[in-house]
Formats: sequence, structure tokens, C-alpha cells
Amino acid sequence: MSGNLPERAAAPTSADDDQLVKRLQSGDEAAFAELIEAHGGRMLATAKRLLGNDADAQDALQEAFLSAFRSLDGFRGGARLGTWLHRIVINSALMRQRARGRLAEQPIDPLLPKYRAGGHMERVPERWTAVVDDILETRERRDVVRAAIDRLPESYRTVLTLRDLEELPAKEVAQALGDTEGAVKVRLHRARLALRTLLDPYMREAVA
Amino acid sequence: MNCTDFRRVAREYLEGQLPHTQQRVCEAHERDCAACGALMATARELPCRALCEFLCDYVEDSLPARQREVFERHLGICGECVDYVDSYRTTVDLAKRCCEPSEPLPQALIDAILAAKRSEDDPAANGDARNLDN
Repeated sequence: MSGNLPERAAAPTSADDDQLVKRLQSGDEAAFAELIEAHGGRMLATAKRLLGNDADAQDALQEAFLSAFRSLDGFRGGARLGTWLHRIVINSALMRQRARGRLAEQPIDPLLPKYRAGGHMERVPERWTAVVDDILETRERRDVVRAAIDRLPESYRTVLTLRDLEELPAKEVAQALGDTEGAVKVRLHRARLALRTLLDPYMREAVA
Repeated sequence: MNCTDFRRVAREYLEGQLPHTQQRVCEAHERDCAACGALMATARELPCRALCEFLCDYVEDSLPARQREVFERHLGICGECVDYVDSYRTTVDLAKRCCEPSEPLPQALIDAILAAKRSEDDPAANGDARNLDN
């Protein structure tokens, strides 16, 4: 049975968060807009990565903010505001995923490495010549990597998003997805192998 | 044949892909050289396929010491696996760092969320503003 992520975080509340929370709790309208502006972009990107399309991601984001606004009185500052909001949007997106049911996924096997009978790789991997820092320099190059992540089958993209991008502990991810930690680990490994395969042609070409 | 030459062709030797004469020369070197013999024993113990299965634990530094040693011995004779491990690490790093910067929210979406909040606070005064398509 799948559950929700605990809406808590490891880092202590910052002074800025404290002030903003006080203004939110007193009903200051401008504070709500500030909160959405400050955290909404990153929250939307995560929701989109989990749900695969803009419309569902925007709905999940709105649900998440409304849910957060309703819970503000209970926010006692044991968590950083951004981390707390992020957990709420992840829960909201995962609930949407569950509600719409499992999509018919493309099999991941064609993206996994193949081996010959002796246990050696069928296709000898080539060294990647592209430099990570060069790719990070422009939006177009980052988009190549993001698009590759978006091409992963949903269940694999979900685990990669929660573990590698959001850096949630395996135990929490397993709990949220109603899976075992072992299954999450296997899925994460396959997601990484598949993503590596998708990036391979691009990464073998040095970025000019 | 010296150890450097042997290790250069070790993977092909292991797979039996070398010409017959060179294959025999390698067999002789493996038999006579304790260090290269030990390397080949390890490679046979852990072929590339098995190495891939341990890859996740290896990069997360959670392999038990004995398995880590066998893993690293394999890397010592298999340049292709060294490249593969590097590219696996790079994949994890790239995914994280390419997704970090995010676009600011469009103002229309901020307004829609604020309208939905007002609607929830006072449904009679604001109607249903929760439809983001409007």
C-alpha cells in the first residue's frame, strides 16, 4: 500500500522563512504571492517530471499550494519552508499518478546494456568526450538531458526523480510508492542505465 | 610478452577473440606471471555483466570490501568497464545538475493559484477559480 512522504525536512528553518511564515499565518496577501513566486518554479518542474505533462503538473501544483495554505497554522518551523512545500507537491503529484492509474509503459529492456553469452558487453562502450560543465552552460544543452529523463518510462522516471534529483532517502521513496527498498534500488539502477543509453550518442560527441 | 602488453589485450584474450598464436602467448603469460594470473582469475569470477549488477552499490560506496576489491580488479583489466562506470557516474551527476535551475512561474499561473485560494477562503464572493485553463 502506497503512502505519503512525511512533510518534514532535515534542515532548520531560516530567519527569512520564519518571517514569511509569520506573515502567511497573519493572512498577508502579498506573502502568499511571494511564497508562490519563490518556490513555485522548482515545484512545478518536479510535478512535471513526475506527471509528464503541463496540465497535470499545474493542477498538482495548485493542489499543493492550497493544501499548504490550509496547513500553515500547523507549520511550526521544524522544517525549511521550501523542503516542506516540495514534499507536499511530490505527494500531490504521486496521488495524481495513482488516481489516473498506471500508464501502459514502454519496456525499459531495449535501453539496458546487452551482453554476450560469456558475460561481456555486446557493444563495447565508448568513452564520453562531452564535459559536464560545458553542458551545464547553456539551456539548450541542459534541455537535451532533461528531454532524455522525460523519455524514461514513468515508473522509472519517478524513482530517478525522487532518489537522484530530489535526493529523498530510499526508505521514504519505497514508502511513498508502496514498494520495497530493494525494488526501488533495482528500478533506480535500471533508470540510470537507461538514461545513460539515451545520453550516450550525445555524450560521445564533444560539445563544441 | 610483458604485463603491459598482456593487459592491453586482456579483454580480447578473455573472450577468445585474439588470433590463435597471440592467444597461446597470452596463456603462457597468464600461467607464468602470478600478478596477471590473479587478475584473470578475478575477471573470470566477475564478468562485465556481473559488474553491471554491482555498479549501483559501487558508485554509492556500499559494496562490501571483498566485492569492492574484486570489482576494482576487474576495472584493472577492462578499460571498457572503466569508461562505463565513469559514464554511469556522469549520468547521475548530469541528471541532478541539469534539473536544478528551473524557470520562474508564469504570472498567469501565480494569479490562478491566488484566485483559487481566495475562492476557497470565500467561495460565495469569488466563484470557482480553480480551473487553471481559464
